[in-house]
Amino acid sequence: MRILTNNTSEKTLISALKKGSERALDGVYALYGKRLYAYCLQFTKFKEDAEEIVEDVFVKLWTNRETIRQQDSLRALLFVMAKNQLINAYRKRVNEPEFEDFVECTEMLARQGEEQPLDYEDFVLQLKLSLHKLPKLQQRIIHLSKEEALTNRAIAEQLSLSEQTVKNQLSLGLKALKEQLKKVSLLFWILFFVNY
Amino acid sequence: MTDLQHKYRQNRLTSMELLELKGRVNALSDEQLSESIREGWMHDTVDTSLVEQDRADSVERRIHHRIKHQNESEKGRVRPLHPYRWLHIAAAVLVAVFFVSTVYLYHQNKQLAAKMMVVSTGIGERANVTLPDGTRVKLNAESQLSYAPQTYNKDVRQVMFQGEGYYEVAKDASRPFLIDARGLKVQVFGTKFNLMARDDEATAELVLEEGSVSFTAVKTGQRVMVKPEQKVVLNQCKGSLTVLDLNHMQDVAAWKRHEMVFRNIPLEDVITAIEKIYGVEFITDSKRYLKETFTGTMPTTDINDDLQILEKSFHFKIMMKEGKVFISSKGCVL
Repeated sequence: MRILTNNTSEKTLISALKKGSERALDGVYALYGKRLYAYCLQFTKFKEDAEEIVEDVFVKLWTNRETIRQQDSLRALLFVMAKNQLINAYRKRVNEPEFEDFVECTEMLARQGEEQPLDYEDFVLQLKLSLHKLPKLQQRIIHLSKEEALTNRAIAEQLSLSEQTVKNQLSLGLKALKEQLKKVSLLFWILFFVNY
Repeated sequence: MTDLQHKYRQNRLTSMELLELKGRVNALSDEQLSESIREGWMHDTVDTSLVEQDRADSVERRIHHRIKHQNESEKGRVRPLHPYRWLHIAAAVLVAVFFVSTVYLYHQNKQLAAKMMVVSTGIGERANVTLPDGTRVKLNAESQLSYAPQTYNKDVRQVMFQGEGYYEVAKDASRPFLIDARGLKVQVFGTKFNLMARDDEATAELVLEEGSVSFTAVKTGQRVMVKPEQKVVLNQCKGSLTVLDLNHMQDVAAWKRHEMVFRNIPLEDVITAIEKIYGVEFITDSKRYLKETFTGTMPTTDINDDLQILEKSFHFKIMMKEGKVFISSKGCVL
């Protein structure tokens, strides 16, 4: 389905914007602001990142108002202005180790019949909070193991510990992490972490 | 791709699908990726229910805030121009800059050529200079050679000199090679010689190895022709010249072979020589050795070798610390 905009009013908005009316910019924001926000959020997964893009796009639109060539609709132009930041956020997100955890978790919840998809921002926050409550050494080992994808042996070398200690601390840490996450009852388990 | 991307946007990917999406996203160029994202923006229904109204409002406020800032900084500027006008102005400015810089650089270049070329060495430094006519000069430490590239080699080959240098002057009978130094003038006819004319020393010396030179004391106008294996010494004070026959030719330009040769030289002078070469300072607790003489050859490449030679010859202890050399007569330093 296509959202039909009142074309004549957008035309008027554009010509007023080109003449330097901030009112017209508000009009454009009313027309596209939330949609752009929502669309960006779908890629960035973080509200702040999405908001930054929206802000930049509208400021750019204002700065370049006099050179706008589109007469009927700004939809395509807004995308051009958001494009690079969107692509960067998208690439970054899909390659993030935490995002992998997140997906495994949502998959799990979906299998359990959970209808409402999980929010990534909440997930990361809870994960960080829970991780933070662990002893420093365990935090460090989990970080090296999961985010930097080091082997136990490499971690042992880097921290001058025995491999067995690393193994023990890692499993202790993950167990504790699981407990933490249970407590906040946001997640029942994190497959990725538990699967170690 | 569209399907996977759609699931990504709705947070409904499975792990397998994420793996696939990751592979594709990483394989696509920005251009290709942007196309699929554009599709969604242009045609999909986007659920805006997740956008909190107050957050959207504060975004709008921030936009206005930033715009206000921008407008303020714009006020000081001239009215914005049509974009193509900018090109014209930029082109005009560039042409002007180009023209001015060409003239300027040309002028600079001429001036530079008229200026003196100066080669100088600091403490412990050496330099080899080849002049436009092929004459080679090895500069010892703390010396300076200068000449004017524009006039050098026209009628005469004129250089100014201070310090110590070993000259190998290219043969050219029609253009005499002239050296000006403090208190003396040297006229050369294709030859090899060592010239020591330091501003801070009471005598200047020239030792000829090959060919012939004419040596003039500026003060008195006294002039001598120097023959090979002769040394001429100028007393700066009186302006008098003394010519000596040399038996030990190789002493003279020993520095050029990275050696110093001393024959019955007081230790204090030996120390001064070492200080000059390495830029160090000697500190001693006793004057008792300083007038004793030293005879021998020392390398000028490694101070440790020199210090060892001194230790063995004078039976004292030497220690080096932070550019200072301590001599202790007690046989034990610090």
